[in-house]
Amino acid sequence: MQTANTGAPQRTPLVAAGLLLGAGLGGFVDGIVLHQILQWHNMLSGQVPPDTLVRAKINMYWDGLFHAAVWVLTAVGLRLLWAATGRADVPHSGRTLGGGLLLGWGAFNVIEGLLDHEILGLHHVYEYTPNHLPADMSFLAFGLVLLLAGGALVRAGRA
Amino acid sequence: MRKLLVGLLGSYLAMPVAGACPWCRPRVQAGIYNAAYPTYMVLVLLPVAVLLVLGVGLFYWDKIRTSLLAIYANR
Repeated sequence: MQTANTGAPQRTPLVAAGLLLGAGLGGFVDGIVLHQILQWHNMLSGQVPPDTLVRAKINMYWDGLFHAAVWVLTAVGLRLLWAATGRADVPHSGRTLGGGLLLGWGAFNVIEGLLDHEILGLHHVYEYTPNHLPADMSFLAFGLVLLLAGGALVRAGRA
Repeated sequence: MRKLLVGLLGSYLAMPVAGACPWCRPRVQAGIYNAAYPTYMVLVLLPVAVLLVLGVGLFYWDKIRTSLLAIYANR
């Protein structure tokens, strides 16, 4: 959809598209590295500990459902990116998009970390220890670093 | 080599669906599809829903803000 250029450049649509794409891709990194390769961070491991084959397979189901939803995030982000790049008032800025991607990945870690680990107690990053805090806090801290880096990159895109 | 591949593929196709764990599939299904299913579904999808609302809301923020201001002005 082509929109007439109305003057001031609009970066928000590009940031929003990057945010959803970044959250989706960050979710895939989480799913591939933490869930599948390291076999940590399973979706229901706080409720159904994956200590038997049956329980591990139950967690695998919920992991799959979560990552199917993350795929939807990625697809919607791609659709919004397509819409944003068709607008004359949205600047074609790699820094703005890159910043949005980092913001999205950071938002994924922070929102998932706060909701699932700290508020709902669905699971922790590393379940096989009595002290879940170090891994959970590292996950959140990494998310905050990504948010700060993303914000800085979006600001740099304005220059 | 070809015979080996055909043999492997044939044995794979001949296996039951849950070849790795034929005995535990009913227990796995019972562990997934139970009374807690809707609750777990909502909880598992909650972070994704929050991110989706955040991203789509930001994308359409100009239109949302204009609509909200129009509603506020007409009150």
